[in-house]
Amino acid sequence: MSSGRRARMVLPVWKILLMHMPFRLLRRGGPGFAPGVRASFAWLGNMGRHMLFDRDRLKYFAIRLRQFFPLR
Amino acid sequence: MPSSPLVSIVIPSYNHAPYVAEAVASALAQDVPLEVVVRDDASIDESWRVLREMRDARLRIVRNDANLGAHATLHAALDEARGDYLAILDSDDRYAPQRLARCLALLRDGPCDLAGTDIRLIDAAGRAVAAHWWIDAFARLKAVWRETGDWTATLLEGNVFMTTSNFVFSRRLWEKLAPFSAHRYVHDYDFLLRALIHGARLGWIDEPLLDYRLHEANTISESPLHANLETAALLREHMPALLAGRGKNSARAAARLRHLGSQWARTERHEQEILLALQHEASTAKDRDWKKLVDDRDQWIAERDHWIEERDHWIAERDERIAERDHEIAALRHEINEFRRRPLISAWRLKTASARVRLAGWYASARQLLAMANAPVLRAGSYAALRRLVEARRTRLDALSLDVFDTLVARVIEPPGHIARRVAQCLGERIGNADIDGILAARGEVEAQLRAAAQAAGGDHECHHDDIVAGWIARVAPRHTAEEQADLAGFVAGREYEFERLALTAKPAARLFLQWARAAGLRIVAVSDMYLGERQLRRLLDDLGYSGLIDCIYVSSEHGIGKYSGRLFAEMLAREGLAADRVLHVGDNFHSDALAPVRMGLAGVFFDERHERRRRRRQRSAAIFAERGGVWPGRMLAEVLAERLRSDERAKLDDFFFQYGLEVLGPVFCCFLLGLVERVRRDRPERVFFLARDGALFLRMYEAWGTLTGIGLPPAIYAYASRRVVASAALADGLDCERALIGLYNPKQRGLQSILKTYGLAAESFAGIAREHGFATLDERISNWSDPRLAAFLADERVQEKVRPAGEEARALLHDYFAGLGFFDHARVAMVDIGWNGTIQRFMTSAFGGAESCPHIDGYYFALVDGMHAEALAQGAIEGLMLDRRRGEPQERAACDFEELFEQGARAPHATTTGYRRGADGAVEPVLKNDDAPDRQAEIRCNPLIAAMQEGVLLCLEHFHAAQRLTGFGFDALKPYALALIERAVVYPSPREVAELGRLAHTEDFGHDDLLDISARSVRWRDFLHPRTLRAKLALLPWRYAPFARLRTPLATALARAQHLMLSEGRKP
Repeated sequence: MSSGRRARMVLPVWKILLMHMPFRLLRRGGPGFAPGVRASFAWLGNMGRHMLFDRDRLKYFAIRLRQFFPLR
Repeated sequence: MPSSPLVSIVIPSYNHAPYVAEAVASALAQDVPLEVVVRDDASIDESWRVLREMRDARLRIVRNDANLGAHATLHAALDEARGDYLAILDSDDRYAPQRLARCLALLRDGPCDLAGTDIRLIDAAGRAVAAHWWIDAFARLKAVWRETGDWTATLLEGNVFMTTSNFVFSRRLWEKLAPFSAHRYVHDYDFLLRALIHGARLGWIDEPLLDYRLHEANTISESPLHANLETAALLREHMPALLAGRGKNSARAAARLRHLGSQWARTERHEQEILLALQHEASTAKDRDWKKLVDDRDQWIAERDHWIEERDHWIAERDERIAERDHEIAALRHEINEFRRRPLISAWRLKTASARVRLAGWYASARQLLAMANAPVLRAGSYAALRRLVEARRTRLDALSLDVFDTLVARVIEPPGHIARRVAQCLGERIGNADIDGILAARGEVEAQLRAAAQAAGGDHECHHDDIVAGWIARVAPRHTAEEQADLAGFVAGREYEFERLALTAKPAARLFLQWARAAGLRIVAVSDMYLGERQLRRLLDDLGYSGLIDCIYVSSEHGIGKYSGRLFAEMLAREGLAADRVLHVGDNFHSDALAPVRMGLAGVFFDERHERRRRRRQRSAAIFAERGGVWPGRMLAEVLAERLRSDERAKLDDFFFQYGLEVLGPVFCCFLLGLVERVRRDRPERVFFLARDGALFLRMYEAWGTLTGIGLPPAIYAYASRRVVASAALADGLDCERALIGLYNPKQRGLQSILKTYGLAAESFAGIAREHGFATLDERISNWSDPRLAAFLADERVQEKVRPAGEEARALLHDYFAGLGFFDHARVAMVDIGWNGTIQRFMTSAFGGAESCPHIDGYYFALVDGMHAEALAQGAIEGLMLDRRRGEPQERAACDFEELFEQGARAPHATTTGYRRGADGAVEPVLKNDDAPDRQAEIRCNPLIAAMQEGVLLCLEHFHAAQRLTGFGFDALKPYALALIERAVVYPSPREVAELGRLAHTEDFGHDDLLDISARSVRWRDFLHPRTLRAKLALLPWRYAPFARLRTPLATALARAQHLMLSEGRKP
């Protein structure tokens, strides 16, 4: 339920970009609901960076390693 | 003067200006024939001027050209004297009035040669002096004269005459003894001793007839030492003559010797005293001079030592710098040598130096963390996991301590500082300052100062919300009075609480967990690092449903200490009387809630909800991107809205239409309502008319918004009107081609029958005339809109005669109905409808606009296609908020690509209005379509679905309002994202959406009985091989993108969309 709601109400950025593509290709009209290609890639990059380099997770991961594999 | 007077008084004068007049006057006052000879010795003060002003016949005043000295002046004056007797008067002494008469009598009758009198001592002002050593010395000498009666003995004892002013002597004596000796101090004593030696007779009057003035300029006080020395020399000189025996009286001689010895001893004693005094003074002066020199020398020594110290300091610095430089040079030299020895390795080391430093930092922090890993840092990923953790430790725990923000309560907006920005915006609006960044910066400065001050005072850097607000208001509104500032502070605190309340939602799992923990007997303590006060935090938690679940709250702002340093934990343990090892702390911040409690001895649990971290990440990025504009502000608001709905139980209803209204139509209609409210507040119409049937939902939303906001909006009225009744009323001017073509817009039109039905005219009465003009049947489809048969039919006067009366009656009813609603009582009104052409407004304006009572109408429509009516509005304004074809923005057109969806979403459950009738009381009532009609039956069957959809929209409105208050975005900022939502809903629907929405029954325009089939036709991939057939098929569909929902990828839909956009340029709207 929640993921469905988020997808219909909070549109994924790639979907907004895709929806805007016909208008961009046909060069019709102003910006409208264009997210901007650069902004879209920046957003996706942000999300990727957060997922990869979540510092709390790395720290916690290191601590759990220590708990499971204690140094002699 | 021809005859020589009896007495000549000689007055030598030098620098005695204050006294000389008195002296001369006392001399002139003597009652004897006299002359007064005054000789001024070139005085440099006012003496000569004083003397010149004195006029007396007996007075002779002479002035020396140059200063000749007292001795020469006295002699020159005595030489000028012509009297038989001579008297000397010093210019600072004065005679008693009878002195000269008595002295003369003594000189003549004595007989004696020189006479003197007793002396009265006076001071500089002329007053008698009562006590003085001079008086005692003089009394001693007078006593010797009284005792002995021997002038020699008396004079050997001392000079009893004391001064030349006391001399009155005969000229014969002067001629014998002249001149006075050259002694400066004792010339009178010498005169007396020589007079004695020469046998002169001395006389004495024991009455004070002379005033001797004692002042600081007396000659005798110039040098007492020299006076005593002169006295001793004088006595030595005259002693033999004085002591040579005249008589054979040895007693008298012995007495004289005795007196001489006494004077001598006295003189020697005086000399010794004077010498001692002089020596003492000299040595003291010497000491003083020496001391000054010694002090100077000491000061120079101190300065020199100071300079030496400074110089040593500079030398030390310089040596340090030299050592540093040498050290650096040595290091560089070593490096160079190393480089020469191993060039490749050294180059690599140089290149990676910064990276190695960073790595070393990470390694150090990782080591620190690993070192702490022995301590019990636990992790819980949900409240269920936390409950398992607590259950495992139940016997070892007395209390649970929880962080508040992001542990007990969830935020719907990130970053938390956004609330401060919103509060700054509200404050800026309130005080009329548009510089929001400046206001926010002022808050930041005040907070930083308070925190720095708190840290300097010894606590952690925490501050209280009340102090921040007070300092902020004082900085932002310095010219306001104290009451105004207090008022502003209350306003700011209220806004901040309101925004915090909107931004926070309780976690249901947290509430259940707390209930379980309390039932298990654990004490619950909330510990938070927050600038809000404890009272506000308690109120927040109670509003969120935590009342009765938390025993006490510890906030860092109240205590001035924080969790991250561990001091707040220590404070909490001390106040609650708990042991550290029997308390478990739970929180979402790794450093404050996991590591710091462990340092203080508590057990720390890192509450790491995965979805929370994702949400925070997502919303923080959304907030950053929202500053770019475009779709991003709307997306951020959608994130906030989704978060709020996630924690609302009412939003979890499992009904497709409810969820569709909540998620799809809700944000779109709410955005439209936001725009409507902004325009209504801008244009301020007196009434807002929501037109049936599509204005029903908008009316409910408008009233709900007014309730939620609390701002006064113009009152709203629901008006039963439709295009059908307006079209009927428009027939009052006749049925022309343009109006007739309206009936042909429907693609499934049936020619004249559609036209007549559109205007509510009975088709049978026009059958004959139609046949005459070439129409075989009334339901013959008219494909060519410029068909001449149609033109001829419409030009037929018989048609117009049938049409006009019906039109006029309809128009009168329409006018009376709206008059009954108060439409014509206001100067400015607004009309709100779904769209699409603004027919009702245009007709109202054209039909009633000429009358004075017709108000200015502002039309606000969801979408304005503006295809049917080409002419501009006569008066008033018409605007499509979401779509306005006049703007020519192609990305707005998705709304008109599936109009029925929005009409169905917003319509009222009652039937469409087909006309009006007058009731019994004369009021005009709307006539609705009969519910027995088949299309109406289908609508009634769909009413529950529509109602569910509208309930979803209203729930979305409630949360949309909160999200809009939190984010502060306006209609213009949110519209791009709403357009994206419309595009997604219309062009890229999911198969389930297509299937469910196809169940809705939609009546065609103008009250026709046919249902518009909005379900999908099946389109297959092979249809793309025949594009014209596909295009014709799709043209008949009201929802041309529905068939593409079955396809797996949205690419086909995007291509179809592109094709549609390309073709729609030349398409007739």
